[in-house]
Amino acid sequence: MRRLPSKKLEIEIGGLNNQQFLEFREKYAGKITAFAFEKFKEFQGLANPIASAIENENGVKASTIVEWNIAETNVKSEEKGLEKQENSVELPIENVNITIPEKIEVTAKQELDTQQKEEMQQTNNQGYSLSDKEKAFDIQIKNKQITLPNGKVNQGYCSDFDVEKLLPEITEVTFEGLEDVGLKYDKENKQIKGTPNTPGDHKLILKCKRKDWEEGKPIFERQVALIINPDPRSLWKNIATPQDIDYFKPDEAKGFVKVLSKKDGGFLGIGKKEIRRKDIVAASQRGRSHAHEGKARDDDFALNFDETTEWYTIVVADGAGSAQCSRKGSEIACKTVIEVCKRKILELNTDFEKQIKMFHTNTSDANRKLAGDILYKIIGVAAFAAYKEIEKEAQGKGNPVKDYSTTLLLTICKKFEFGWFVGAFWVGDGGIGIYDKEKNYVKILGEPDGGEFAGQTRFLTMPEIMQSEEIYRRLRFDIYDDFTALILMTDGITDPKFETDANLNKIEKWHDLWEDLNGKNEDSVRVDFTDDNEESAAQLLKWLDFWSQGNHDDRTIAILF
Amino acid sequence: MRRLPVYLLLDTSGSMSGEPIEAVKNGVQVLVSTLRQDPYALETAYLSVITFESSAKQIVPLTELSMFQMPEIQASGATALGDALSLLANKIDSEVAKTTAEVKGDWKPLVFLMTDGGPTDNWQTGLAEFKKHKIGLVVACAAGQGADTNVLKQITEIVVQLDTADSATIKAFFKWVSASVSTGSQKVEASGAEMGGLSELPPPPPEVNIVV
Repeated sequence: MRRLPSKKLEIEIGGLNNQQFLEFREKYAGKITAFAFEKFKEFQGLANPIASAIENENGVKASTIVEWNIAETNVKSEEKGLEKQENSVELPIENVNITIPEKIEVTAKQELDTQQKEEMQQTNNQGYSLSDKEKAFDIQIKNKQITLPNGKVNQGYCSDFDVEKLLPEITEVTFEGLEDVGLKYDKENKQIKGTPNTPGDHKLILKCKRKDWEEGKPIFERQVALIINPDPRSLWKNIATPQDIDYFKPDEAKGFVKVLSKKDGGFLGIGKKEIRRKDIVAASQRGRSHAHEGKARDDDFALNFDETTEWYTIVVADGAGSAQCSRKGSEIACKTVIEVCKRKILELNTDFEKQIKMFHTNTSDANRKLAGDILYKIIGVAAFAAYKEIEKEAQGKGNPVKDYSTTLLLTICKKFEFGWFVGAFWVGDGGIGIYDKEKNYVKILGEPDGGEFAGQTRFLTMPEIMQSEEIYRRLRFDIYDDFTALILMTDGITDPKFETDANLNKIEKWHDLWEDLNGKNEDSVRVDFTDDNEESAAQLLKWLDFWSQGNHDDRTIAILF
Repeated sequence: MRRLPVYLLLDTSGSMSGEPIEAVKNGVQVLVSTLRQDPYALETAYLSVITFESSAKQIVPLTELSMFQMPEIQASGATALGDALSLLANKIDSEVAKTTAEVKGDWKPLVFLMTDGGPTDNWQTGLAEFKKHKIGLVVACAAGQGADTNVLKQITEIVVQLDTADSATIKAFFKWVSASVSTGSQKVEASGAEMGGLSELPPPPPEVNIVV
């Protein structure tokens, strides 16, 4: 049997006494599928409202509005003028509420003969004849508040549903429409279970039998609402960034800097050892929130390894979401830093390395200061140059510098025979860390600039950041033992993976991140960190697609391994 | 994850009975089913409903949008607006997480208040408590001509008025609320910035008049 959609009809039945009220109800026998008393103050909380209605001497009060759930058929033709009203009211799809202003005339005084009464004998939807007791029971079931917890598409659903707790007289229960949604009623465990597959506001039909049911006796039914939420993943659109916008940037990028092993040591070419050298892998992906609206990626990164000096430079930058040209800001920052570092390292390398070795031999404050001064001349100058380049671009276009707001996380590093020298500079949120899995060690190279309120951070483009003291304050450097990975990432990664600034210092979180990168994730995406594995760039880009509720910012990560 | 708390403060006093209260109920349902189709809102928005008549009651605690179910509401009694504001202040204290080094806090809440009459309680006390809290955005809606917009103006700068409290108008208001929540959740997710004022809200429909 095809089920007609039911509609809610509000009927004013002011001034009826109980007898009239009952007769009114009978008049609509067969069309009434649900009956709500919620609006009757006097019936609230009563188990059997119909019985109460009869007992209530005062009758149904004037101006009370009753909700009737009436199958779509016949009603229109019976109530003149209704159709017109129905069309004139714009309402949600599921419920149509119509208030009929004029009172419905119920001929209370008119005696109904026995034959008429028999003709009008009430049936429920199944077409069974109902006794008075059953009628009352039918109404009781329909008035019972039954709510099912909402579900989500593709996410396991399990909800206890013990009908006996609702109404002890009921024994067997079936749900019509449950299987269409991908769920089942498990009678034994009294649970609704399964994995919902269809989003929407579903109307299920609950069918039940009384304990004394036998062939020929009615099966009672009522509607139960079940809301299934869509899988949020299915709601995110992926609209390509239009190529003709100012400062177009591809929606994703990946990079790999392969540094081959070299032979070293020995004497006059004899007894040389193959020395493995670390590679850099990086990937950057536009966040879902940008993809949904066809907006460009604001993040950027740049990598370099200088074969002559053997210095690595790694930069990631996150253009501010609220700034119009920030994608260009991050790009300029990355490019400039790489360029300037390259130039400055070549220029200062001899002194710098001499000073690093002195610092290694004696980590006195004086030696630290001397090494720091040279580091400042490289990465401090690079950061400042990046700011200047952004300012130049902004002025050229007649835009405020603020429109190019970007964070900047950069490191330069080199392997010496006594360990790794790593220098870092960091403005804004995100994170830089040196992680050693075996030694259970992590060192964060700076402090994230989290604001007092969520969503506030510092940017390279803020004049107060570009003061020499402030730049100096943000420099970090030291000599480290060999490590598993040096990782730079934007807040698109740190937010979902670390959540808080405090967590950034927790080694467990870094272990989790490393395992995650190595395939321990929902989608089993694994980045293969084998030496010289160029494929790791594509793998890392794929890894960036991980799902994290509410975290859909651009994501950029660079790893030296 | 940072949640975007959304509080609905709904007047359920006696004067709202009949069509207005039905329209409010439908309005909330439309609001929720619309927001469920919006990925930003579905993932970040959390919704709570506080109703007020002779006293205020939180009928739905701050709930993930996908799990939200609208309970039955009825209209009767007076208009304890002050009680509603102090209850809201209370709930913001207990339900909205503040950012600390250890905890990433929620976004500042969005508050939508709808009333059709003047307050019948000592509303200034409630207002004073409410004013102590950092709120992202407060929109007060005077449903029909009976509401006191001067009182609402003291609660927030953003006051709107509905000419009549009929179902079409109330529905239009809730659609606008829904669009505003969408905009708010999109803003926090896409740019990490919060909503500040009326200018950042979507333009209200013709039924919703801005009170200046």
